[in-house]
Amino acid sequence: MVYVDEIDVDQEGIAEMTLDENSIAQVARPGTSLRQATAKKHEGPSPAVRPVTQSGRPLTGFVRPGTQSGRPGTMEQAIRTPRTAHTARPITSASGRYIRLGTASMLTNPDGPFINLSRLNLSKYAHSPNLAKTLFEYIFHHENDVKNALELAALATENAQFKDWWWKVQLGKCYYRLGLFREAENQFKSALAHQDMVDTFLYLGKVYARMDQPLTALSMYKQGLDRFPKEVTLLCAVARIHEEMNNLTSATEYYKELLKQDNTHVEAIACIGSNHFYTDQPEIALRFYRRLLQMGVYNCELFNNLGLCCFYAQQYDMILTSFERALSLAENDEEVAEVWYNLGHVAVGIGDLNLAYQCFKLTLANNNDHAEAYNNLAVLEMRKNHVEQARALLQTSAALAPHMYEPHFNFACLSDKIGDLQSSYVAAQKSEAAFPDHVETQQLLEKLRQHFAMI
Amino acid sequence: MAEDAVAAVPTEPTTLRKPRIKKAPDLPILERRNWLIHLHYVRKDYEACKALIKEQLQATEGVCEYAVYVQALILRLEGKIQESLELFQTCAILNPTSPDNLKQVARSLFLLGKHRAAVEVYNEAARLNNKDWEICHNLGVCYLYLKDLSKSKEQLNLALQLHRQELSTMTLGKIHLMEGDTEGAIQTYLQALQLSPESTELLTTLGLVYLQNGLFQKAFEYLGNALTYDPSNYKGILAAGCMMQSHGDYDVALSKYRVAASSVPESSPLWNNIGMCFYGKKKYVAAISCLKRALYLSPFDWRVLYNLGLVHLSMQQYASAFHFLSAAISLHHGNATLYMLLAVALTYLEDTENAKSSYQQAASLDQCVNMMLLSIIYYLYLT
Amino acid sequence: MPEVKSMFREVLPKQGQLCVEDVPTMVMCKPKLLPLKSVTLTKLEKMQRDAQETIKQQEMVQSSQDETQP
Repeated sequence: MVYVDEIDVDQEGIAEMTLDENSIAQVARPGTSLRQATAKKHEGPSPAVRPVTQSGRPLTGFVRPGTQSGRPGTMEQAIRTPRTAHTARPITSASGRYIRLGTASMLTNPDGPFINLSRLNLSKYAHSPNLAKTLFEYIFHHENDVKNALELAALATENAQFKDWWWKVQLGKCYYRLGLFREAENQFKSALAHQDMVDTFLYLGKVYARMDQPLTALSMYKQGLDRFPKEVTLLCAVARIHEEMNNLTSATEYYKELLKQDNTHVEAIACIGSNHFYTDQPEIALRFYRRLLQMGVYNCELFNNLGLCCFYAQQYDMILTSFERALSLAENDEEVAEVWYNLGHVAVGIGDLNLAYQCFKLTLANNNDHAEAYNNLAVLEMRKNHVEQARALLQTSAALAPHMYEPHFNFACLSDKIGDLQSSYVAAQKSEAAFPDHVETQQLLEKLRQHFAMI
Repeated sequence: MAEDAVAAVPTEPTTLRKPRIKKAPDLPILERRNWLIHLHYVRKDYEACKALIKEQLQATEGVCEYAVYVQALILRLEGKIQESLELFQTCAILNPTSPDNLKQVARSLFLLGKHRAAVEVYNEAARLNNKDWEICHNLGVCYLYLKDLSKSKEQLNLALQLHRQELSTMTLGKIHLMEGDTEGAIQTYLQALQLSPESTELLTTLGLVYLQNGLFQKAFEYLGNALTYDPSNYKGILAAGCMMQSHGDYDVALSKYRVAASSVPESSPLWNNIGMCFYGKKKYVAAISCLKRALYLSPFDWRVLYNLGLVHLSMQQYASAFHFLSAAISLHHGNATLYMLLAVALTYLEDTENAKSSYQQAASLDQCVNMMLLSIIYYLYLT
Repeated sequence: MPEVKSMFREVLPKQGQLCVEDVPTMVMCKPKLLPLKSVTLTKLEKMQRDAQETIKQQEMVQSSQDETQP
């Protein structure tokens, strides 16, 4: 049986994102929403330096359920979010992680459920507090039956004359699962009134984050930190919110604080490491990833990152072995594709363009939807003056990843070169939408507008 | 009455027209609102203009030529060239004697990249009006895209004869540079300068041409002028900074680059030059971080790789130097100094054989006598 | 030859290659540092994979049983 940490932020389903009733305003003011794709001013590296994910946010060092958020504009966009078994965003959260847990539990007991819930007399069990608590945990976590759990919790709270903070927290959790966030908030708040517990602060913050009120969540965590100074989980939660809001300097600050308390915290190390890499300090990033290796983290992603850091930090002896290890540890085709993609960059770095070409082709062989590889192949083709191939590759890339500015900008450049100014203009506008501060796009648009204005 | 109105349409639709006020309100006149449409267009009031045009077109069932014309112009400003082309074609059908309509059709074809078709239509327009410099100029540009440089020059010169202006001169100058005729280009640009002495574009371009041909005095003069008129002009700053660096004025260059870096933060050439300023001031660590940033932004630039190799050689980090220099050579074969530097790195890495062949390569490549002599000396020394 | 080296040093160019103008070029997508997965996520994915495997196997057993039966 797996005991999953309930506090971890969970995945928001697609339907819940598009049919959200909890938002107060249509458009949030900049800097107050977790879902708004980046405010204008990028804090930290721009998309010209750090790759951007589908939500418009920069690639983070650590993925947890829920980091892929970013409100899709239309249902169509929502459906388009990748839904392989590995990056699956469930349709609703009810069909997401919880079903997986439920299915897993069902599979481990082929003879049928351990307890038949429909035949339980919940009010009887509500009277004996210890039994009730254990029963609740079983129903809630193992059986995944929120309704019954809620009923039990309600009866038990009543039984305890509304003075037991534990039951309030459990009620809050049930309401959260059911999507009744305001009720959940109330329960957690009243639980806090009885007894300060770190978990309660965390749950409350989670509720606020889910309601897309990151600033309230932050103030809640601050309150928690006042009460429990330097508590690791609270610091982590604060840092996560900052990262989701794209405040990378604040996030790094909190992660550093976290590391002072717990210097084996994987998430903090990974995030700080990736921030250093993308701010021109690959040597420092290397140190952080080496620490992870020392701690015993041993997977494809880590070795890939080690290989990249070694290359940019000029530790030439370690590059290829790291990448080889990464390839051998890859668990699925997408990971293999990513490693080959990065190897393509290394190949470009040593000036071997044929090798780079082959690496990017291998990326595509393992993952046919790798937009970055298409783009880079197009750039290589243009160097050989194969305009038509480059064009086709760029169109594929742009279609696969409309949030990336590179294929749009490259297409605009290419079209401009061959004189097709209309396509160039359309593509340049898309590039501008993806990355408004990109200077070369602005220059190109200026030039095109002058052409159009001339009679 | 309606026919009178149509016959009275001038061939230059951009002139202001007086409305013909009729006593009897039940006789609509096709061109009644043209003046208002023109007014809105000139004021860049495109929304009002479009609304008015729509009204007019409905009232006249789509045959009001001027309204269609302006509509097409607005569409082009919005970047919808295909639709604009169709509307201009309609205009040409409505009034086949107007060279303007044909010009616009041709221009739309040009903007869509259909250069051959554009040339044909321009030729037709030229037959209707052979004193129009714009037709000649645009023909020149079309031939340029079609890679027919001689025809292009011919047309551009014609355009300049009809009417001297900056646009044709810039294009002509570009063609001279493409053919390698530096003198011709300089002459052309100087002539253009007489017409518009304050054009930063011209001054910078001329300065660059002088710079690339080693005429530093003149280059400095023109680039300095360009920067006086527009101190934040990125092209000018880059070129001027470059010149100052090559004369050892690293601090001045850096201060200029700082201005540029605030407006263009992710420019690989800028960071490359900044890095080399630091190298000149012997601040090797700063140089390396700037150069690495330049490399990250533009991985195919052999010059950044060259510089990185050079800086690492100065810091006696021969393995890194070798890495960067060999990458540079893979990307760009023709530079003798690259081979020389590679040979230096190889020497210190104790690979004498390859160092010798590298010096040989350097000697065979370079026409510059000093370099060749140096390479030969080192080669003999190693043997 | 170390003793001789000190007498005869190579001359390194002082200038280096400067970029005189900025021609717009196509941009490459940048290298990706892969985000590490949290323990929760790894466990979840593993559980999901195992569950899928088990279901698949059960189905196969089921279908082979169906086949063998007339």
